Amino acid sequence: MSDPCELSLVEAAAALRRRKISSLELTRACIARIERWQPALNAFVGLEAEEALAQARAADDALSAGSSVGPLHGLPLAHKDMYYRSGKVSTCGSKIRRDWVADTESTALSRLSRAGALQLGTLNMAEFAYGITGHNEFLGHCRNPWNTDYITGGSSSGSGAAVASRLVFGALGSDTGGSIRAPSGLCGVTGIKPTWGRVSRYGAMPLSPTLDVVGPIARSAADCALLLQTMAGHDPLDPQSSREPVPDYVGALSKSLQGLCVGVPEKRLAGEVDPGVAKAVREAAAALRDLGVRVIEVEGPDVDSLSAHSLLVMQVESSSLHGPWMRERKADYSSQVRARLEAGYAIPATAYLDSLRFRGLALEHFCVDTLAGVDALLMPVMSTPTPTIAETDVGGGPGMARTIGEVSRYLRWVNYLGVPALVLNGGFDARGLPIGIQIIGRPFAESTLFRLGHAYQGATDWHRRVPVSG
Amino acid sequence: VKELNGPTIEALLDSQGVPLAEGRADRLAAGVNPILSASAAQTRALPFELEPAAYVLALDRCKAKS
Repeated sequence: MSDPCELSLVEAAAALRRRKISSLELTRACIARIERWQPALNAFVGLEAEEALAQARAADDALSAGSSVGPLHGLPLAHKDMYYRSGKVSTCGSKIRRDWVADTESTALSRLSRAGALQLGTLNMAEFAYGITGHNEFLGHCRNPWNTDYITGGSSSGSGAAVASRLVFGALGSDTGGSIRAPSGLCGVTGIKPTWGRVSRYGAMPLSPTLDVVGPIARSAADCALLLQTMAGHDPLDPQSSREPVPDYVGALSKSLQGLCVGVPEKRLAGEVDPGVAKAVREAAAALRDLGVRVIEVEGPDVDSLSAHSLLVMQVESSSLHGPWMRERKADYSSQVRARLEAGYAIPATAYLDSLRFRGLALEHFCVDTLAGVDALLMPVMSTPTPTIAETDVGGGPGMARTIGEVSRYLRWVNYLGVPALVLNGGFDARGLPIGIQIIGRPFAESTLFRLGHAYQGATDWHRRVPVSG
Repeated sequence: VKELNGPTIEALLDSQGVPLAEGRADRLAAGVNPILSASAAQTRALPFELEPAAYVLALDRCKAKS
């Protein structure tokens, strides 16, 4: 095996079970890669090498002893630094929580751990997950592994960069306004924003409970299906987690695509999307058509109106959560996050409640009208090419706010509706940067999205491209 | 919907114990007003009985057929 880090999570799991490789070898290979690439990418907040190596030895011993093992047995992962572990620091990407030690255990992490996964460390993220670019004034900006001058997308910046550069086999992100999908799309990996309530958020730092979801970023749709399979399902500790039964995501991957129909908002692609990005979406649609999927033109959602509701809800809820710190420690926020939080205090309670009351109607309209006759919608992650870090940083000039707005424009509306979306790499632009595409479905349609994504990745090799070698 | 101006926003935040830096309120107004206006355009005539929890029922009604 040339470099075991280049295996997908599913391939690595199979190699481990067949004893073609040990957990210790996998973990050592990841650590070597992290040590090599961390200075350039700044994807990790904390590396827990010794603990992970000890876990890897224990995982190998269990396999040698013939013990029953979980589907993620011995696989090294790392997660956005906002998933709590008792006795461990969780910075949440902030100065305020720089030394904060959690006293509880995230349900998502517990479930991954129960399935046998190891944790190699914690990953960079936007401060309090409140930023779509991947900037972080306190931890340092995370860098896009395809070109370190460009943003990774946020807020799960380290998760996107670490998975793309093959430092780990998978990572947890969280998505309130695009925070799994932006880094997945911009770093050229696969990520799923599950249906709201599909995965317990207990022990995960909240940003806006009405919109927050927990989900994985990994190399492929099959990897994400396996990770979501492990984590999904009701949790009494998160009363908003869904009681909807969890389907067999992994089993569904091999189902035929016959009878599936995908809608493409062609007018939007032609009218407002960068030609290179639009071309990638059309090529993805053509690939799906070649696989037997019916592809039709649809009107597409009113992303701007839905995004306004999403932003309004997020601003009010995050400002409420951060109230005590905004009153006592305002100077400890970065200027960008402080400015976003200030906005929430200016929004009338009636406007907030109106947006919540409208949410169900908007969802029904989307499912009945926008998705009429189709199973899913195919859209780009961003309408524009990926911007640089400088263009989106403080002092980025008069166009900065607009540039940042474009990053989240096609993402935020999905959180308002609470529907699932799978992000795939749809190719590369002329600068060699990935072009993300997203497939958006009805509530709890994750199986369908994984089927489409898996088939697409069987017909293309974009997801197998690696940005850094060695 | 009548737009919020800088002094109103400054007073709103101050009443919640979040004082603003000089000139910040006007910039906040420029950011908040378009959001309020865009959302209000759709919520101006919501049905009287409609409550936020209706979303959870819609999530169930709209779920994908397995």
